[in-house]
Amino acid sequence: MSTAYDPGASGTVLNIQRFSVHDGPGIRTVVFLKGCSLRCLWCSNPESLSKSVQIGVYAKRCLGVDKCRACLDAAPDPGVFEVQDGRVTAIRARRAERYLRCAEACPTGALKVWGRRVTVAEVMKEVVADRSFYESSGGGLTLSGGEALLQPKFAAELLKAARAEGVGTCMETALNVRSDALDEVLPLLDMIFCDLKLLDPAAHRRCTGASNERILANLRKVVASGIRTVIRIPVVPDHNGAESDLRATARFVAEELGGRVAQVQLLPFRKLGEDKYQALGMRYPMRECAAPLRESWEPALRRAAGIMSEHGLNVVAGAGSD
Amino acid sequence: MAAAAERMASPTTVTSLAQVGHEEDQWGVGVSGVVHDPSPYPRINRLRDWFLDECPFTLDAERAVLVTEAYQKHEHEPQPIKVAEALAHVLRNATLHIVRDQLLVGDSAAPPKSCPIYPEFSYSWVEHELRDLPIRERSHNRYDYSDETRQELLAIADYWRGRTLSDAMLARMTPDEMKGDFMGIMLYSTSLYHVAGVGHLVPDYARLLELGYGGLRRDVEARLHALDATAPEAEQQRIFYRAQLITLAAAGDYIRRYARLAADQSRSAKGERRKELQAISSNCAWIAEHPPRTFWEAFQLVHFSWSMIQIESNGHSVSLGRLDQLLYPYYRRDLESGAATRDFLQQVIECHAVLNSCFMKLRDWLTTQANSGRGLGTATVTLGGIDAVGRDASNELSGAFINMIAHTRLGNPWIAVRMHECTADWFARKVAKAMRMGTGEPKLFSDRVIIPTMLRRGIAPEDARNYVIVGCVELSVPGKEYGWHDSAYFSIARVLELAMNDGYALGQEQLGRLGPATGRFEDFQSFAELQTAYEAQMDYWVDIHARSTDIMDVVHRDLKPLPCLSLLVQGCTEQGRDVGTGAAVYNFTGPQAVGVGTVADSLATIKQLVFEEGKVSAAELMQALRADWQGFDLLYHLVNGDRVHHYGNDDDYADDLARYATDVFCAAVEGRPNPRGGVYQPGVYTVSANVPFGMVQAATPDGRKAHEPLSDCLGPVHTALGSHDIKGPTAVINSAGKLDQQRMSNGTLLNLRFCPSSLSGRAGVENLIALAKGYFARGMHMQLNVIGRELLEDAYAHPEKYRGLMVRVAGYSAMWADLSDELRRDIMSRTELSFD
Repeated sequence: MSTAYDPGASGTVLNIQRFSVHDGPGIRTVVFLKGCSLRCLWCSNPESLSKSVQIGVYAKRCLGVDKCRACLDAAPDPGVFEVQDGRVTAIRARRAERYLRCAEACPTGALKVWGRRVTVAEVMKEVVADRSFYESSGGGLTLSGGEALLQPKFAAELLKAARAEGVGTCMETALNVRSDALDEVLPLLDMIFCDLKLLDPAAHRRCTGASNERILANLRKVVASGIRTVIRIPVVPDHNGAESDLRATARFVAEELGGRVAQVQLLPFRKLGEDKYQALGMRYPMRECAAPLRESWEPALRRAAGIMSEHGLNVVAGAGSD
Repeated sequence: MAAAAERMASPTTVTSLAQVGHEEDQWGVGVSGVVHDPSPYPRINRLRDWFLDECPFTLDAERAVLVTEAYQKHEHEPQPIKVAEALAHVLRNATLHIVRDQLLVGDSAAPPKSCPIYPEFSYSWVEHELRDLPIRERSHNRYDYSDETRQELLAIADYWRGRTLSDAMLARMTPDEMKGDFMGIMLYSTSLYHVAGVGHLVPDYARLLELGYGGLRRDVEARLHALDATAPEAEQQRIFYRAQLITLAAAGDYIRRYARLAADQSRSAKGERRKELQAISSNCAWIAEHPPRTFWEAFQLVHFSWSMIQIESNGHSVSLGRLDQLLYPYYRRDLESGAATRDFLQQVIECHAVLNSCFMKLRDWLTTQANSGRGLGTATVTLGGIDAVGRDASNELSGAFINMIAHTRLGNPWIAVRMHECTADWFARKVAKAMRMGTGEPKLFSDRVIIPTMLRRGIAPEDARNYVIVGCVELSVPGKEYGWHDSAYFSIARVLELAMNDGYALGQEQLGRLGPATGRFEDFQSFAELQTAYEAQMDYWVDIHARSTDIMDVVHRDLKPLPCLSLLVQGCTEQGRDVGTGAAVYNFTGPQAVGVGTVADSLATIKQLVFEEGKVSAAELMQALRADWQGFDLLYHLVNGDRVHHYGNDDDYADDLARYATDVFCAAVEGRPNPRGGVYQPGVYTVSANVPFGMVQAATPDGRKAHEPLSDCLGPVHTALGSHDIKGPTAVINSAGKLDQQRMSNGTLLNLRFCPSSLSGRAGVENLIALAKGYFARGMHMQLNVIGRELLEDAYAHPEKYRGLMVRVAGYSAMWADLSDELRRDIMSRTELSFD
């Protein structure tokens, strides 16, 4: 396979997280690409949904406009900031890029920029810094999101670059993407993590905003390619945690995917990310839901794993790689 | 701190003791010693419960009284004879104890968990605290004692006034030598050896095991007999040998006293215990004179030797060395001959852990604020590594010592593991599983970096390959080196402060100019001018600190010869000279830098914001520091935020400055001659000294407020506003790896803290090993804290629930219950490297 890649290809990255130990084998660097094609009710990363660069406002961290006017002074039109009780509480900007200077000027991080345009070369510089840890642990690069495959060209170039550098490759995807995007990356991956939320198309649309037909078709294609595949299922009480849902999913994986999935991982729903919704001026769909306690979700997850195992699957509760 | 206080107000639900298994996969992650019955052996669990619950911490006057009697009786004898007679008087008269269930014996000249007192080193603080700051009423590190004990200890105070080592040091020091030390502004502190013994070495146990005490005695007798009486040094040598013979006679008597005591107790004991006591008695009777025949005897002999050296002097970290190498022949022979079972030998090792834990050291109240361990500091066992010809040395006994950690979880003895490219997989995994329990043990060292480091200091190749760890961090050659490690903690953050303030201490200008006049930061036109000032202050203060240290060195040599220790340091008996005179094969003095991260981030802030971006003027920054950041909110947040380059993020800008900051220190220290014919060598670690050094320093440009701790060891900065490292452990490791650790031959330490989930499962073990391998290409030494924040917060709110919770402080582990409030808060605030 050719190892040529385009170091200048660029994309929008949300975050680069080193020493990730639950997203593929060994010690990994996860590159989160911004933008997602699903709108899951339980999403705890609202800052990953839009493909655009965004600015969030953490009003609690604002020193107050009487003490600090750094963002207002840096703005071409200070009126873009909403001020309540002496603190900046929101930004009403259509294009956040125009206000990056404001966020840069903010001393406390009350203005938080999500997303930056970067090149493959820039990302790889940080990725290869941990090469020695990948080599001794069997780790490498994991692309995640958002939805990594909404930036198919950038994702493919990153994976090619990793291959060229001898760095292992994994991807996490929800698979609600065009199949040609998938075709390009599959040969570049050592392993793939695919989300699967629900089998019932109507329920899927209600919970994620999209039908699951394309997802299931893509999943069949992933498995047919022979690549090592792990399916991840977020188990959310009242949405997809019912025994009938779990069994439907288990039957699909066992029968239609022919048992060629290496592992099914069940992830607990935890009420996280509400502050980020607030910072973005977004409504948190699960805000009414009580935060699940470990005492209740842990046994629930184990019970779910038990149910799905009855279908002959290798199911684990949690993202452990044991 | 507000957020932390909120969290503490609502204690979480962590409760009681965890159930863990005895097999290595079931040792638990992040549970530390908060466990039930960790040992598969009921005897050990009973001993552990006795240690944790039943046996009180006390002070004991016996050693102090006996030493005083001997000093008075032998007042006019030469000093080596006087100290030998004092040790002999203690060994012949101290009350002995045998703890039920124990297989090993040998006290500290005090009951178990009781502190013997060493008045010959320093005594005014003991007297002061007994009168004015009662040690039995302390909030932590409390020791109980009777009124009678108090009276006995106060009664000898008059004798010691003016006679202690501390008194002699103070009499010799000029105001210049005090102004920067712990009695001045504490830019550096030599307090350890000012108030107590030196220690920090591994005696030549190989020689002891080969010859036994009888063989050592015959060697000294022959040398005394062969002395040429007309030689100019003969009189000193004769005195030295006489002191050694006094010590040897008393050592034999001491061990035989235990033989008699065990025999006496056996007569009233029943069943198995009766046989055990008879065996203990016959073991002692034999090794009082002869080389040991079994593993049990060999370990007993090593313990007797170690404990007598500690009864002679309360130096820190007299260590045990490579016991997995030294004792392996006995271990193997016993198993092969059927003389003992594996289970029995394992219990001997675990009994030693309990016995070793019973040795206590009283520290003054001020010291306990930052160094709250109760132990001696303590005995480190070194495992693994390569052998003399470069092969992996790990063996079954190495694994048995790791099992001991999991089965006892008491924190003693300390365990250091040497890792290298060929470390056996089974051993590396076992070690990783022990590390992730969260007791802070064992700690890991890199042969790949340390062996070349030692060669650079002129250590012979075969000795470098045989290196051992003494105490927390320090490197030594067993039986050959008197390294005076830990000679001083030295704050390079304070050096930078004086470099910015024309030689004055910030906020203490009324003391006058203390260092050279190197100009005011407000007047500097370039970063290079600040560097010049930093380098000049560094040279000056390293000079001054070495003068104080050398005074102490000479006082120790003159007033506290160590005839018992000198029996087991190569070069001493051969030359007829005490170890304090420079008779050891290798002689070093090792101070260590404190505040690397603080200085790196301060320099990065100044370089970037003042001289490159012009975001703040030098004058404004100085005002902010003088105001402790009050009224400078924007700047305070800016310097603590991620828009400024910070050390610990694998960012060359800041990491290069960390390297610069330490290179300047190393250059000033290394190669400077010491009074024992050796040289100074630099180290970079704080243990817990970053806390007291921070307590006495004004605000620093990295965004640290006055009185907050300085940065820990080689770690990044964490201030009240947050941690400066944001990229996780691999980035921290890469940053620390950019320092020139091969110059830091007195040792370095990188502390990493993980949340338990990131090290759980089989993958957690492999990842931990991979992290260590990654660091050890360039780094020397790493330790882990693996205790969840949830558990620590509950332990903070309810310390009484957490008996057995042992945490890594930095360089050493200590029981949570023994820590000062400051230290508990510092430990909680260190970065938890979690990426769930």
